[in-house]
Amino acid sequence: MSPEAMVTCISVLTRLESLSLQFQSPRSRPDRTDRFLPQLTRTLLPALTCLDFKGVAEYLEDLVARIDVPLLETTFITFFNQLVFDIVQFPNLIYRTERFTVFDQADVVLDSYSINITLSPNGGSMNSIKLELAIKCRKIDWQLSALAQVCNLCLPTLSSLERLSICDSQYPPPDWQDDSHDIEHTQWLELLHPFATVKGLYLSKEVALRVASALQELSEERVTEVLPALQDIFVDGLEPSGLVQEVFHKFVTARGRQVSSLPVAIHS
Amino acid sequence: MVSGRRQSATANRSLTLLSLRCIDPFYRQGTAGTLPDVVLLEIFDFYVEENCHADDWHALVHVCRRWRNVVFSSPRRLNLELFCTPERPVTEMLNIWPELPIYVLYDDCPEVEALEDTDNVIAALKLKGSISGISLMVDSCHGSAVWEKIAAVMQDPFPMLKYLSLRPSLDMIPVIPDSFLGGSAPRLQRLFLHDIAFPALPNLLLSATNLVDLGLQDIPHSGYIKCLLKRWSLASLC
Repeated sequence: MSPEAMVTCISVLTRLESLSLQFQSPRSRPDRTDRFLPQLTRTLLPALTCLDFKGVAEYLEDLVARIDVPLLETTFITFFNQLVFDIVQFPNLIYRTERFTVFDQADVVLDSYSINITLSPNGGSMNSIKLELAIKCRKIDWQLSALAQVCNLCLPTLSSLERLSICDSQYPPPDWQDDSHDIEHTQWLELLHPFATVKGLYLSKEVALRVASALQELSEERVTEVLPALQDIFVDGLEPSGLVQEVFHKFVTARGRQVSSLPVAIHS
Repeated sequence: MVSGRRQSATANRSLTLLSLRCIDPFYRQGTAGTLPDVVLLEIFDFYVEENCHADDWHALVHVCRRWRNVVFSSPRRLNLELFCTPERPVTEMLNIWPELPIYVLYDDCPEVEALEDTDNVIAALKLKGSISGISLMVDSCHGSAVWEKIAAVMQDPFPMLKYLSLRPSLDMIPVIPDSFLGGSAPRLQRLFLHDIAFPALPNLLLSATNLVDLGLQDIPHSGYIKCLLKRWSLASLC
């Protein structure tokens, strides 16, 4: 099923408000030999407000390169597991979509089958303006690597994010024990890297432990490289004394010594 | 989308009530019997919209003759439909209710004697000019045979069709022939296909200019559009 053919189909559907394309397997890749070449005009879908896609990144890329969706507000994207996400057009779509400029909150959730990030306006769970992106994979180190790639490609187009939460889901939870040896600390730092405008960081207990360990490895000169606009850290179930508290305290103190850095407070 | 329509309906409702207040400076509470038809209709509209069960309007028409008249005077606005299932034969429904658009629901499960159950659904689907909605979920030991029987009566146009959902959870991925729905669905507003190969889908979509929701789920790897794209390219050369 080619993205080009799909766009040709839906180009006549000027009243289309909701489009859902969900592939059964990652085998449904567009033919890269007749890969899309840049064109001057995109097909306008003037009424589309909801896009729901599940497939490989290449298909989404070829699809969104061909469409303009000025009223888009609710977007659900699910990628199958891929080692490399070659994404250029999707960030452009985010950039072009006026309603996405209101996003100031990012919620990352890890579970046993996928990792996902939801971008929304503040208090956004009740709002229809939402971008939810999920990547299907089981191992946490793969999840982190995949999401870091996608976020590093997509998020630079969003300068309004102020709040980031990273939590593990309980339904079903990721297997921290099984994955503990595979996760490199730098993977957490790579995931945090694109959130340069975030002021508030919210972490679940399990995630806080791993993020704290990753921050611990930063040299003093590099502490402002991660989340440079950070002002508050909130940790779920933070104990007054313990490894997490201690590491975050060191991180905050090191940040305090940097002239350009804002003070950071730790909250439970 | 739905919330947008609801907001619009709520706004219209507020306007109606506002205009009532303007007309009657002593606007006050009263019994339902004192309400004008236009207000009753607003309330019924709200009731039908808030309740998702297709038969909810039945309760309204059983209250009194006046309510019945109000309901049946606005069948399109209240989206009145006769809900036909294997257990609710279309002939029975047409005997006891006024002529209304027909919504056919077949939600099969393995426990049901599926082949026998299709007779009522087939009978309903044969009333092609009256069908407004079709929702078929075939998943039983007789699945393929049931699907073939149902698909066979859907090869002609259904000119009033607004809603179509096909979910044949079979061992084999069914392929919908080019002649499905006679190749066009001009009034179709919502289309959902699940795990189906439909090579002629582009042609159908070209005719479905009123489509609002399009959902293609579990799209099989077999694919189904490329050959038609080539056909279009040739047409554009002519």
